Amino acid sequence: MGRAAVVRLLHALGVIAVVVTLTFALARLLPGDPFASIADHPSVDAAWRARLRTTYGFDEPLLAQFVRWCGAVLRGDLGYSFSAQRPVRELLAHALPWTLLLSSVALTVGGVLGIALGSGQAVRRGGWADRLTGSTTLVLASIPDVVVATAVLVLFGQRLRWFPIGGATGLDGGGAGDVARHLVLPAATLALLVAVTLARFHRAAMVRGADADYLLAARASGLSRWRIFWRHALPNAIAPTLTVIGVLLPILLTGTIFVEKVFAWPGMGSVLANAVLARDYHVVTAVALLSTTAVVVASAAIDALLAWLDPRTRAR
Amino acid sequence: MRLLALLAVLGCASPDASRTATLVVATSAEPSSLLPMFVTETQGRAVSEQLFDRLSEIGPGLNTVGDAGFAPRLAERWEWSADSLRIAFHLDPRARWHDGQPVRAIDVQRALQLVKDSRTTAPQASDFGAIDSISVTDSLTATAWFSRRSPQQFYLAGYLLFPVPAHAIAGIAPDSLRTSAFARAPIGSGPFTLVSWLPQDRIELRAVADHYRGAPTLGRVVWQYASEASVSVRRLFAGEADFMETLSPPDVAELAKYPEVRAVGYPSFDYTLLAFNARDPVRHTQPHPLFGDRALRRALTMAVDRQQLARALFDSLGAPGLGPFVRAQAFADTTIPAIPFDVVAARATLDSLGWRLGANDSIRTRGGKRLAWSTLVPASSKNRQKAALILQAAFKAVGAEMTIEGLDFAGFLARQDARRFDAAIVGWRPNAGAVSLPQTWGRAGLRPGGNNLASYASDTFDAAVDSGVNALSPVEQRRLLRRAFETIIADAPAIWLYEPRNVAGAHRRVAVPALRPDAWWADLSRWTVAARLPRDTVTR
Amino acid sequence: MTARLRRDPAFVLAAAILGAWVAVALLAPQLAPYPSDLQLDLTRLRESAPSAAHWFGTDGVSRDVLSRLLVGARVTLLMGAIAVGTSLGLGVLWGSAAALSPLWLDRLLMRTIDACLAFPRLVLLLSVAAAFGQLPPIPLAVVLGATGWFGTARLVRAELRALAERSWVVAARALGAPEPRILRRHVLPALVGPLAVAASLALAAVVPLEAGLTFLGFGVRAPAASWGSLLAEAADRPDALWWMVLFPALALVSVVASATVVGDRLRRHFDLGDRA
Repeated sequence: MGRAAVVRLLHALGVIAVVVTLTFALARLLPGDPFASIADHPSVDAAWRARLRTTYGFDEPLLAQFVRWCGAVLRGDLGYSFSAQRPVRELLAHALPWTLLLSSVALTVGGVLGIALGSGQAVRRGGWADRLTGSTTLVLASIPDVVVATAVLVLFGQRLRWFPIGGATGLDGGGAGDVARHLVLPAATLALLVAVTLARFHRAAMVRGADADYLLAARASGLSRWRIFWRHALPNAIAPTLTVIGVLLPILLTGTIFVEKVFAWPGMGSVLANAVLARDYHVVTAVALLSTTAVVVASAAIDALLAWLDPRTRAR
Repeated sequence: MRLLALLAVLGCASPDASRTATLVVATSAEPSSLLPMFVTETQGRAVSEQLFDRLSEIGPGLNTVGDAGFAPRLAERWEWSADSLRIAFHLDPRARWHDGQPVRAIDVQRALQLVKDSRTTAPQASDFGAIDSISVTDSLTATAWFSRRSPQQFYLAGYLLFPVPAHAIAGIAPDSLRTSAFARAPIGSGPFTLVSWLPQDRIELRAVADHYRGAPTLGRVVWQYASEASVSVRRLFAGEADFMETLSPPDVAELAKYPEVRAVGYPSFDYTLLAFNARDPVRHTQPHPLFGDRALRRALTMAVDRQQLARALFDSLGAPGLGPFVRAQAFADTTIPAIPFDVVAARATLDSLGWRLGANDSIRTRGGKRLAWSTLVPASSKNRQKAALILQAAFKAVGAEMTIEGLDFAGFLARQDARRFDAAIVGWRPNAGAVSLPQTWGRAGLRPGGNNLASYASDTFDAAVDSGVNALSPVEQRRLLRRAFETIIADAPAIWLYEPRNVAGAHRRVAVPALRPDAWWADLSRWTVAARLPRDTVTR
Repeated sequence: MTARLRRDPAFVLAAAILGAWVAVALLAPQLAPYPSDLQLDLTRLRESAPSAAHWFGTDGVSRDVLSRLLVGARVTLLMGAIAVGTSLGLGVLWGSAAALSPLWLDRLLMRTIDACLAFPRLVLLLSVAAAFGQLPPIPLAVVLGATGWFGTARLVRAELRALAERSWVVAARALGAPEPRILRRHVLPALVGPLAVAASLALAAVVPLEAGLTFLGFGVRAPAASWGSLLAEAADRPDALWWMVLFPALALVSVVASATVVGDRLRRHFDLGDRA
């Protein structure tokens, strides 16, 4: 067990190293530089921006830059963001908590709702409730996310004015109630989208398992429908669902770009999108570092959970 | 109920209530710095110029020649030496930095040293080359020295240069000033001081109650950021924001549904053009196979109905471009003849140049080469994308094929820098003065890394611009520049597409004064707001 | 068997809708009331709401939205099919390779997936754009599919791993059935359900993704029409320009929903047939 954990850890570090190195290189190969945002002025020309590149070491060979960057990261320095005008660490310290809050609420609510809906559909398979839920989730899953999010914002924010339009805190706010009011729309939208996806996967997994011989046997032995569901059907269907959740988990750290953009949520998704467009290399690489760590941890956690749920897979 | 509302409004009209008012500005981009010496873009200037005062403020006519029209700021008065090579600025003894220290001559001297120091990487460093030095005559008198007379002497020293608190930045090396903590939480001299800057979220400024120009009428100003412009618009419409600098034409149309928001028009300082690259995009020493030809550029210009283009993009809120300047500039001349829209003449010219249409072709050819090119367009700009579609259709009508190549802005800029394009839809926001003309359209901008994107080279234009830039009276300048503009417009290095008329959105509770085309925020500290919202309760 | 499918009203309706869209895509230039990139009247017909002359309204440069929607179906359906095919194909191949591999290879394959999932897709797409410029629709669809299959691979592997231990598979193996036969008869059919869901979600994602790429200058080249490029014009203003959002969105929903229903009924049909 101990040895397996060490192997897993080494693999994880390997994945992180590969992704970060690739991101570092690829981001710098994109055309443009971090100083594009200050170029709409006749006094600012390409020669001046070239001077800035030299000043901040973006002209050095890629390898030299990478070595310097690695050294800095090991000392805990993630570099400087030229688009946000502050050290990357400070920028992430502002953005990360907001994304963690939004994503954890949305994933929890959406996850529970999705599994409940999918299970309910599977238990009452073929009934009107199954069909109604099925068509609703199908339609919702087919509408582009941005349209759903914008429609929610327009209706509840701009028209009804029940909730503030965008942002995470009000002007003189910052208290729990204020944050909650700002959180409702983006979290509900994201939760809805997660729930819709999960419900559809989970129903499929449950239904496929439902014809299994052991369930037939259980039914024949006179066990109650709900007991069969809790004891047999759900645990067997949960593996693929957990895998889907595992794929969704990294948004805990990197957020979802479109929800954050539409609701002007000051989180990591917006940070990443802005940084890529502004060629803010240090930020892009730092976000890749964080998100890879998140993916690796999530993947390990899901594997461990699956193994724990089903001892037979561990045997292999 | 109605009585209560009336009482509330009356109560708010008193100046005292107005003083605690909060103005919320919705906008889409954060400042690139809070130190004016690093800031060129409007969104950043709007904030940093509340934090810092200049020595003097430009007049409403935006004259930049001599000191006509300039009003005192940190300098309460100034005097010229007899030979005009020195200007002595006498500082207002009441002026204080936000930490309580007086503003002194050494702060002016230090500012010039810093911007001219290449390690500081201030974007306008080269402009300040015209000022030799600034000396400290006494603690309240700073004297600017010039080696030769130029019309923009005063504009440079008195307007473009922002004094910095020498005592507060003493420990910061010039090459780390840009990334220093001071640059994001500076000590300024302006009517507002920084409270907080939450990245991607908002910047909050508070009024300086004992400011030497008097306490601002606004209690605080908050810039709320949202990278999607539509979020800012919705905030304005829902009353969460009070002001937005530019509304797009569809937003202006939508505005009619929201009685508490109104449109405030003001002249713009932007112009957009289709730049033809006169040089080959790969072998830069060669002329461009198509656009090296003046007659072809003129023919293509004739194919475009710019009146209709401006209407299609802006309705009545835009006008066709005139030339390499905007109407709001002091030397602008609207009477220079433009190349007319004339499809028949365009076709005839193309025919005469040997670009012929075969019987079944829709695209002209000459010696087996098609009349086809690619145009770079920044994909993030909806206006320029639309303009590209309209141009594409217009060129097709005369038998030319323009492909639209969309790029994200950084990629667009990289191609533009390398001159690796046939044509590009470019937006410029010039200085108030004429100083940047040689850099953007003259031989001076042809050097690698220069700003002459079209690689336009004309001796006649250069000579006229040079004498225009150096003219010592506004009237003389206008006359000389007209010659330059006539030349460049006839040479058609670009199609001057449009100049939008800015429309700001403002909540009715805000009394917006006339907005200056180059800087809507210029009088922000004197705006009044009928304070009646929860956010207006500021404790001072 | 087919008779039973033919009597299923949901299947018939969904198949009819899909068939209609394919026909529309093929005949679009004939069906469209106006040429799809014709700017009809820049002064009077910009962003006009639906009317008798223009059922679905007009866009920002006075082009007929209905015509663009019909013509755009061609690019969109083709791109959707290719992107989903690429992404499912790669996902199934990779996932089943991992599931059937020895432990070390499985680990290597899955850690690669971790790396791919973690890599910022935006950086990847922009670098493809930087390397190749604006791509024609088919390569673009391949790129979209090739950058979106990592979740599917993981799902497939998890399913196969779980299935391999199921009683009926164990029983078949105990009875001496050869592995390929077990895979074909017992394991793969059970995969179809989750894969169908994954496919419908992937199909639904193609159009908004393409719309997003437009803002990076990477979408379908103007003035060509696709549902994504239609949506990109007004997705942030669904209130003011509702006709430019609603109709492409409805078209997309009809395609995704129909494809899902058809896929679901076919699976059930063959599933039962197989077991019977």
